[in-house]
Amino acid sequence: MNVMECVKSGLFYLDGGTGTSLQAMGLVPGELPELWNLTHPQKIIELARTYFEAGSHAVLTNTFGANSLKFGEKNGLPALDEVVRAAVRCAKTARDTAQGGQTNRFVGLDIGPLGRMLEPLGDLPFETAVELFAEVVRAGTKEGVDFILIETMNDAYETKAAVLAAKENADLPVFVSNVYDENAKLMTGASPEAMAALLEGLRVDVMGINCSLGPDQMLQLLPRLSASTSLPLLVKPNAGMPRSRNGKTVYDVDEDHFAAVMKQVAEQGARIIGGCCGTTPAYIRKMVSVTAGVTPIALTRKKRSVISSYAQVVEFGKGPVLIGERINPTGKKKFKEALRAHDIGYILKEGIAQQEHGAEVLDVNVGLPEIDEPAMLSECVKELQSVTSLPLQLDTSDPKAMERAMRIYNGKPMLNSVNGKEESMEAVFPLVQKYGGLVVCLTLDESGIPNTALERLEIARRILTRAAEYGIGPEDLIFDPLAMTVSSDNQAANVTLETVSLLKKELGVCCSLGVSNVSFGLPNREFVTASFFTLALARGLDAAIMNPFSMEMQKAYHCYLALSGQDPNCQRYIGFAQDLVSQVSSSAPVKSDLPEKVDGLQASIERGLREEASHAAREALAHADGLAVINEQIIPALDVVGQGFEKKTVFLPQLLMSAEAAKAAFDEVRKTMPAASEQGPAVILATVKGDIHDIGKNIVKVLMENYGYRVIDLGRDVPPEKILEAAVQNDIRLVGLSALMTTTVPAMEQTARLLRAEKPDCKVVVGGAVLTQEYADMIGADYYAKNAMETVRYAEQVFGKAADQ
Amino acid sequence: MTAPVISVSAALPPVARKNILRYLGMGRAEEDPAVAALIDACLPEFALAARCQACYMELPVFTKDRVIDFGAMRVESASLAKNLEGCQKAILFAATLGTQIDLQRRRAAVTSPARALVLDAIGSAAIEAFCDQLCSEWEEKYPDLRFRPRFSPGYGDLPLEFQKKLLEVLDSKRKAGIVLSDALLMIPQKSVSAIVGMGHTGCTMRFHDCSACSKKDCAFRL
Repeated sequence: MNVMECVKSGLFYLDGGTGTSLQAMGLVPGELPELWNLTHPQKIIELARTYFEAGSHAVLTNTFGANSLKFGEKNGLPALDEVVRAAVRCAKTARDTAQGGQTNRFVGLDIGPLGRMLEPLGDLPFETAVELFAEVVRAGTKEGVDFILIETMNDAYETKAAVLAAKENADLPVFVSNVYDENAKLMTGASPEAMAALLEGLRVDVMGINCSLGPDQMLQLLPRLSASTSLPLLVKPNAGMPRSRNGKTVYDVDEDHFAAVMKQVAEQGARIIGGCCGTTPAYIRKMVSVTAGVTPIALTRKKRSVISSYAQVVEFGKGPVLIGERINPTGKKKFKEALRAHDIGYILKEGIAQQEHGAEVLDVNVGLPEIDEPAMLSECVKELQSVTSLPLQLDTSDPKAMERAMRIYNGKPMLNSVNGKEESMEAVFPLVQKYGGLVVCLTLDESGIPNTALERLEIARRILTRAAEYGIGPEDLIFDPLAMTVSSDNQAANVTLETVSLLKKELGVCCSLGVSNVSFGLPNREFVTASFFTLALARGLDAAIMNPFSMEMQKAYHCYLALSGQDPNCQRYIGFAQDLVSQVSSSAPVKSDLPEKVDGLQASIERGLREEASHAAREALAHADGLAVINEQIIPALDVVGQGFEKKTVFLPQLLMSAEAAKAAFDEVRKTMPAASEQGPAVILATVKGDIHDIGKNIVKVLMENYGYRVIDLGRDVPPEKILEAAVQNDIRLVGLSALMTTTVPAMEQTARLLRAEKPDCKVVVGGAVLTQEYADMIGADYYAKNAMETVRYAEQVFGKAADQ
Repeated sequence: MTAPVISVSAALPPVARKNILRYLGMGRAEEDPAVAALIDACLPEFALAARCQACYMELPVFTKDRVIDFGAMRVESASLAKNLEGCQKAILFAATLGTQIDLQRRRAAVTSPARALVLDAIGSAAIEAFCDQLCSEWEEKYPDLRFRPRFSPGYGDLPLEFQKKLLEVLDSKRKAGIVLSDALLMIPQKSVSAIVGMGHTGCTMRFHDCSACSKKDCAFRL
């Protein structure tokens, strides 16, 4: 019987704690337990054998902390390969020599966390993590194990890296176990539902929970775990909480209590059970005997249509889902400019604004003929998922771009799209099979978009069949019956709506529509789009790709929910509507509580009032032209605030709030001015390699933009070469570098020296918490700016007074 | 002689406004209504995202000249030795407010750097408040011992490098979700690691005393 057959046939017992037992055998605190595979193999074998004899089906190799960050020559330790190989040998010897216990006995390769944090929260790149895990997988499988257990993971992203490494380097069952707290969250925020979506998407074989909590607390969380997944569940609690008794560590749950609770855990749905910190062979022996008569609950397929982000899930089929369409260059001049200028900040703002307007998923399309779409899409996905917890819909027709983005996506993405063409299915389905995803399926094929609902239904059937061949169930497909333009074919909307009904009735699948297309070519398009949206919702539409800023769409959505009984007590409708001025306009929602009029634009900026400043700017523009407003009101306000800051009567938060107010005013002015007239000199800002604190750099950025500079913001943790490359490419004359820690000043020095050597006409200004004039001189910077205003003043010196707005 | 590492999770303690203003560099400035309003707007959102986690262990201390021996590890530092003078025991701890506030600040930085700055200051004040709360609890637990001010790697001549050892001994990734970057930055960003000495004699200094410090031009000085 192989591992999965054994799991399917009944309860499957794992082993208990390793560290606790090894310490009892003489491991000193601070000593690496994995070294014992080489130095004390007999003890490792003995412990494993005791577990097998206590009734464990599987014992895990002593490789929890084995990775090449820790092991290898550079740390004066044996090579990773050697450590892992010895560990597997010990476990196998134990398996072959144990007396009694289970008939079917297995060895699992144990993989624990790397002890580092992945980007963007930390500094470890995702692909580096994949490779570090891959080394362990290759070493372990070379020696022969039966399955891989990835455990004690408290971050979804690191979990994904480990699973990819396991899948790409071995053909073995993969068990995954995460650490949840009492609130059922991973340290980085993922819920059990989010983990289930991610792990089922990645096609793992078992998911579960271990460490941190005792058996009673895990029992509490069990219903949520089992409701979220169709996978067999693993539960591996600690022996309660550690306490100090006579200078020794003891755990507060004993064998009897542990075993009694584990019986309930097994009765309530867990199939793979064992122990974590503080549990010993005695705990496992007791657990095995107490649970002997328990028949585990049969595995059922939950068939939920879900996508996830690093933290949360969105489920389809439980009420309409709004997918924001605004991250898309089609027909948007400013967006295209931002893409070409590599202005990621602009794209992030679009994302956050849509979230604030109720979007539940963000469509991400960055395809433009002249840009490298695979690179751009994956960069946008990385950046977006570091500022929003909304799941993303990856929208591209380039399979390369799709794969790269799916790989680094922190969750189970939505994919836009596949269609009935053989070529399309062959490109997309293998990706879904590997990385997981919910796919939008367009009902068109080689012969185009059929004119009838029945023919579109036929294509949907074909897509379902083909998907099944890749092991992709109907719950991971969402069908888009294609909204066509009603102005060119007056039956277009009818056919689409009829297809929605048919798909739901005949196939029972979820449906999504890009609704905006229906109104193309008509005046006041949103009237038509919104009505069409309502009609489609009434037919059971599960999701719409739409413009969350459109008032008409918001009205249609909220009214539909209230009228269809999906809004208890009309609460959401009331929340939406009560503050709105009744209007027939088609612009973005406007709240009725417009800011009170304050005494003019200059005062609003000086006082740091953003809303008031934009309002005042609009008023000022009614009487004066843009340049006059800038020169007579905005610039004088900035001067007052800037000088106040230098005299220490205005403080940093106030300076920044004024800068933001000024920016809001500039935005209003720009709307009235030709686009090209606003470009000041370009400067680069970056936080140096190794440093991930970027608050200071961001402050300088806002101020520099206020003073008319075009800021190329390279972000944080930026290698010297990348800064040089950008400086050369854009022929930059001023680079600003920021560092917070003494440990990252050397990276600043490297960058300054590289620029000095390769781009000598470029000045370097440095700043940051630990910097001093002395440091700045020592590392060869041209100027040390003590604060953001000094950077602006220095820039004025470099470029000759004030870049004109 | 293996002391356990204890994990703690707690509710966010109240964050004193004067400390938020201090981290904004406005400790001695006049109250500004716009800044006050921004702080008020940020506080509830911050409280929702913060997750106070800590882990600690108690170890015996033997100090000889500049070498401090905790049993589980040793370190050389004259300043720490001075801080621990007369102590028989010490608590080693690491505390954090979690990753969610780091993401929250990142998100704020996209739309409003002023908001990000205020959230950052609240975070700094809050992690100190959390550490103060932990220390008060320990003081209550040992009423007959006198506590030293907490001492972190990087203070005086205690090398920042010591951070590695300290977090390793505390098993801080597993016990509190705190890791180190290559550049020895703690992640999540609002984290503190420190040593608190306990002795039968000597001073008890619970509050930060700015007058004890020679850096007279410090923006945070009260």
